[in-house]
Amino acid sequence: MDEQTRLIKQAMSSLLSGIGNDRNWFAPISMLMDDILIEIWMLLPLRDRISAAQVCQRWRVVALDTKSLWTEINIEVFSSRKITALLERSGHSPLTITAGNKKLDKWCLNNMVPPYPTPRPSGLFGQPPMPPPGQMRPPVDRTNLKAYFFHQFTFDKIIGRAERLEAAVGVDKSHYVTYRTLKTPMPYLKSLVLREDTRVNPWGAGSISANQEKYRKYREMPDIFFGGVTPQLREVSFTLIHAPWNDPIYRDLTRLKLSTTRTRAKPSEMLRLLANCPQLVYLGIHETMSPIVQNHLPNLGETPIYLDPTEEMDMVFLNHLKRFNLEESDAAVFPKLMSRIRAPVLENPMLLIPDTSCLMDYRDGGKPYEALRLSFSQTTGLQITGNHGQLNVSGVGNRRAKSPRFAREDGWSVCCRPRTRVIPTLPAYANGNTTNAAWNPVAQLHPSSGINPLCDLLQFLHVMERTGVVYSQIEKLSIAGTMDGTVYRSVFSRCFNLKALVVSTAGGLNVLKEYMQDRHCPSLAWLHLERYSEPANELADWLELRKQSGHPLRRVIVSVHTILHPPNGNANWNFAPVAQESSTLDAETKRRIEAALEPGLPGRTQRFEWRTARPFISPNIYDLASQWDEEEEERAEFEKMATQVGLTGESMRSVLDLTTRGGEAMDIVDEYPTPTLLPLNTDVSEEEGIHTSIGSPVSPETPIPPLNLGNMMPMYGQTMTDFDEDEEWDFGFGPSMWL
Amino acid sequence: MSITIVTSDNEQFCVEKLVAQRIALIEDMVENAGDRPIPLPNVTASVLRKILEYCEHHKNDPLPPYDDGSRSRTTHISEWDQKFITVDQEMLFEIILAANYLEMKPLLYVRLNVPRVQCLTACNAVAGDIGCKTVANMIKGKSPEEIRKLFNIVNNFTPEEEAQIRKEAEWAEDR
Repeated sequence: MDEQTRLIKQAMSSLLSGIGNDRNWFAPISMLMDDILIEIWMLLPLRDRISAAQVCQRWRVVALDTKSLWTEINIEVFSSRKITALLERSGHSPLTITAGNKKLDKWCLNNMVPPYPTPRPSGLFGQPPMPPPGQMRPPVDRTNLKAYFFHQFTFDKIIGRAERLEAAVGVDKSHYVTYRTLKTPMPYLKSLVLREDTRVNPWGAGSISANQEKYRKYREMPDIFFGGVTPQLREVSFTLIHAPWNDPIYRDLTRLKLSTTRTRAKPSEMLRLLANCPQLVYLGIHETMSPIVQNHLPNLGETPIYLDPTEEMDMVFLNHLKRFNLEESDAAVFPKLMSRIRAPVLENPMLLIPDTSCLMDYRDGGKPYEALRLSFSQTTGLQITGNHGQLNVSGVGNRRAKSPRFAREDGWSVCCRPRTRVIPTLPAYANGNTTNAAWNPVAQLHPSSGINPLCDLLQFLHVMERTGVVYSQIEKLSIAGTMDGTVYRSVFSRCFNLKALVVSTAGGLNVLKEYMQDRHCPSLAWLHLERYSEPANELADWLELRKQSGHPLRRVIVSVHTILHPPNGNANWNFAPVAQESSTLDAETKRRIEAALEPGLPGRTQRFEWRTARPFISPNIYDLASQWDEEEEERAEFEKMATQVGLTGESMRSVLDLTTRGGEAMDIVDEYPTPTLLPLNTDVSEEEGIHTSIGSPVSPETPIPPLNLGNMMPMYGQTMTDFDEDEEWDFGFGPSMWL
Repeated sequence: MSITIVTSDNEQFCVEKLVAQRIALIEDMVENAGDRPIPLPNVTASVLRKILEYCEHHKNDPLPPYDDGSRSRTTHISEWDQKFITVDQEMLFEIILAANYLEMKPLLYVRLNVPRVQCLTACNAVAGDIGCKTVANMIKGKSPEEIRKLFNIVNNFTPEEEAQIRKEAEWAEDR
């Protein structure tokens, strides 16, 4: 019976795929029906889908027949041949279009080149080293005019077919998507992820601050997004982009994430906007005003809008809201916002509370949490997270942790999972008083900015002590700011499992020398010293001591503290700042340090890294900038380019043919079944390797797998970026934007 | 409270209701069947035993956090599930087929808090998630030849098709 059923199934599936006499019947995998095969392929990244379509006749027929397997196009990364092939295979299906390059962004980060938004005054680190050959390309490679032209042209043609669009909106021609693109009607669009990308194109675009006025013109939002034609749109994520509250784009949304829209929207405007999308199921508001953004805004001639206490705010009822992430750095806005939102069915509010004052009030039963209590009296779970501020207590550090632990704190469920991370970092606000804060990056980079995060770590300790379990489970810890010695001693002596430590405080080495005793933190393997200013040989001494005590470190990264001076006291940062390194490394010390480390994992030869920021500025980068964004010139330039590369006549027509064929799909939307929407909550990136495979049990000799901090959002600076070199690091642009 | 299930090879299983609820099809049938045993003509005892082992282990799992039914592209599998699914290929595919038949999306996709209609949409999608993920992981990063070897598939392309595939190589590796 069983055997019979199986044979029938095999025969069926073979027949279905139109292949009769096939030896592959007898392979066990052929018992799977076509739709299961498709389901499996859908889990694979494109390159594996291509391989799958080359395995055997049945697989090929099924794969090529399944248009939805071929609808993901990354306009910045794929070659024109690849895009052409994919457009052919995808037929008229709605597309998932990405205009972004994760690898490039990662590379920018690792090389201290501002990715997004300009984390430091533009051009600070000047011209970056060129990317590894064959690996990276600039956002838009304009050195290859033919390819550029093809890409831009194709993109403009296919954008109307997008079902999912994920793009960095640029202000210059280093991006395929500009604000003008946002006027195209989008009949299929279901999911939209947009961020304004003002990163300086290191390959030539030049400084934005030098051309403030001009850029502002290009940053003008359309009056109505996509001409008001977005009938299927359900999910929107905006970063630094804001559509007016009454824009039709919000009408039927079920998921909405707004990040850093404060420059364009007042809290009251935001509430009015929320009232306009009553169907919301997921809502994320992230207003952190990190120094990254703070530095970025004045470059564009903008200042954030802060709460006006007299302002009237309406009450908003979100009757379907189930998840709510709120990250609000303005302690005044926080309770106001919370007290105006009513969400009766909320399941899992995630509150990302970045400001110390909120936490203080929490301890004292003060206002912000009173508001919270009102709004979420029905909820059973609460996660508290700090971000960009001084404290971080949450489960988001390890999204794979399966069993959350709950600790009762004043009747609240505080979710503290195992492997909770603590990231007290640089204060988000230089002076606490944000309304009049002068834009002074030096103050923010400099440790003596007047904020003492001591109290925050203590707060954390209090919470943790009540739970009584988390201490010894902390594996990754990041400390910033100057703290009382007892705190350090207490942390070091009790974190038995500490494996990775980031110290981003000036004088971090002294802290380690003084408070971390030989027997402390026996499994510590990875150390990153940020803002390092001690002599290098002291580090070598300490590492040698550590080795003698039997607990050598495996990997050490030192980021030398670079003090930046505005040139000639010019506070506007329109000119290259002067950088001064606080520590240097000689070959002898380097050898000593390397000798004091434990041999690294196979294939990871570089166990010690000494990072310095190289100040460099080319005067003519500004000249270049002025050439780039003249709309009028653009058209003429395009034509010239096309002629130059010979993209005229026949070849032009073939490009046109292909792209307009795709465009027809707009008229026949109902004829095609809705393909499954790709998830927005993917937490493992596509490039990430396979962790395990069947039939190959991990042998006991296998070295300990590298630690993984890939899921940790870096605050800013380079604190957490390259914890694991192999991990594809996602800095919030992409599916994981939804948290 | 328990439920009796009869497999295709006539073996009877007595299952706790909490466990059975993880399986959409059974949950449906329970409503109609009353006290009678539930027949599962498409599932053999060995496969059902495996599936029940899974349900048993996951019966107390918290409900998955809200998502709108969109499939996750992640291919990560938890440690226990990994061990659970370490079976020979034939068994693996049998589990996928059975999970598909039983409408247990991730071999567990129970959303008791989600309206039934929505739950069905989620379950409609084929096959056990873990099974599919496992197969996907097996394929990932392999060349067509390696995939053939892995699954014992014979290359049955015609010369024309071979030529076509070779041509694909021109762009397949392009970034």
